Amino acid sequence: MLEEGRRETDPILEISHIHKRFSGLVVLSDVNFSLAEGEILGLIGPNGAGKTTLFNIISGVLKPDRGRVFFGGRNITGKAPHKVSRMGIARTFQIPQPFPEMTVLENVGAASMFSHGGGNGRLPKDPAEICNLLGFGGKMHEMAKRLTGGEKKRLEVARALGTSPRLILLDEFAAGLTVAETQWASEMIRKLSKEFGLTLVWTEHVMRVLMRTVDRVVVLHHGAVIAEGAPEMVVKDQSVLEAYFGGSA
Amino acid sequence: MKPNPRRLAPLALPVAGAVLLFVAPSYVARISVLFFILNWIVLSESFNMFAGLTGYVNFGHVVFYGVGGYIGGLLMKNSMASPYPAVLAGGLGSALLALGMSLPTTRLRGAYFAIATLSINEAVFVIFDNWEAVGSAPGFTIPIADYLPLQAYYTMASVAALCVATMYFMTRSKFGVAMQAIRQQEKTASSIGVNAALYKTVALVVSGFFAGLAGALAIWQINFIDPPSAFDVTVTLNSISMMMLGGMGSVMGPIIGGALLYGVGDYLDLNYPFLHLIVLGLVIIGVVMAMPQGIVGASRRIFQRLRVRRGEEGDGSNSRDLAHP
Repeated sequence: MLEEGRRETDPILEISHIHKRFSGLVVLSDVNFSLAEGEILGLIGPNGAGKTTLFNIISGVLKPDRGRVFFGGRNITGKAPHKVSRMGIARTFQIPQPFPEMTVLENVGAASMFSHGGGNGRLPKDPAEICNLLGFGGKMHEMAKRLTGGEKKRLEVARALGTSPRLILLDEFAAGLTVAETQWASEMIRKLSKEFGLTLVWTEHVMRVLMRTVDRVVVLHHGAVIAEGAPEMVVKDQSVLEAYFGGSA
Repeated sequence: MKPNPRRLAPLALPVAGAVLLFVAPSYVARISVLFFILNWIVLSESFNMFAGLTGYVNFGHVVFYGVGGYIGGLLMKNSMASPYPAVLAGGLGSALLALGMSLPTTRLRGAYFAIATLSINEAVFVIFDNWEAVGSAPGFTIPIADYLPLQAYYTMASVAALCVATMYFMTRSKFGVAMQAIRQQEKTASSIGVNAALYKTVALVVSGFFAGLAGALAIWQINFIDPPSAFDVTVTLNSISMMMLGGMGSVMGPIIGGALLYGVGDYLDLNYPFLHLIVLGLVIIGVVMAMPQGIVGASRRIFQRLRVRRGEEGDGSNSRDLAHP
């Protein structure tokens, strides 16, 4: 199923012919795309397009009905979430899910404790350093449950970095953030890719900031990829406009 | 290297506890009361090992106690020279049962787990109630010719000490961080590499082992077992009450709760046989309403407040630093 010889460097993540249905409802049908190391991919699509389901399949929470997921050349389809995490794929949740009774530092510390070294040699190993990187300098010892919504979103990323990943899946990262926070998030995502060689997949159903940040966009609609390419190309795509605005634009 | 007295300070409590357990029989008229306080502490602490740490309420806890009792009792009855291997077999048998129980149940969440374990309790009761080979409904007695209460007591005390020590190391290690993570947000725990099913299984097996030991030890003391007493859901409920009263998830909680509830309960039972359950119930309701975190949680908060008043709280950091184990 691998499209051999298509790339000079092997893709870090390869989604190959993924199908998923929930009791009759087709959520994903024949989804294919791949990512190069260090790339930032925007995964967009209207609500219910199947973005979160795809994340759950990559991270091992759900098993696809058909198709395979390759990470670093290895077939990881259907592996348990904790194994996928230890291989170097981290994720953030759409609604932040920190350990509420732990401090910020403890949240990140727990992540680094179970990652077994992870796979990213360029990221700092010290949880405190990761907290500083995400701007938690003064709030490292704050209980996670006392953080604001925006801070909790940042903690999601800090915790993901704690596992020393090579790939991060960001689920609706900008949703609920203020304009300033969104700007900051965009800069941070670029920084993670440039300075630490991280590969990122970022889903969002609002496009503006995402389009300015990512290298490439994949558009999902009703569980199928309807467009793929550079952001400036995708926004002009007829099928994308129809998916978002309906009818012919 | 010279031993640092500050480092040795935490040893004071366990050493004092061990000395107390050792000399207690010389000062207490009814050794059986001491025995059962320790028996309840082990039951409640072993319940705490799973429920207190993972947040999953195992309503079938008494199954470990009853099965351990049956295994130990049958071995003691069938001409075993020494009760020690029988007690150990009771613990190991229950640990094995816990392993089997964990396979279907660790995949369940919240209330489904509680209901599943409650029905396991009921099923096991019905099996033993109809099983001729193990005495079915009437149960059986164990004729022990030279019963030595001190022997039973010291074995019970050793098991209790081992149980508390195990809980201590479970909470102060990587294992403890995994349990915290599972209890607080299981989905996230898996996403950072915690094998939640494995950790829950280990916790349940260790919990089952100690409850099984407690069951076998109780048979040694009582010399009698039947299904209604071996699989009485009240034993589970008492274990929960003791843990809640003392402090859920804390090492000291079940020790305080177990000693208090059994001690006070025994006193009330002797002096007010018709009222004691009502009084006990009211005490539990009052305590849970006033101190939802139990006695340990409430006293922790008081100490913290005193420290803040004295201005000792430096950076507001937590004493249990998970980031640097």
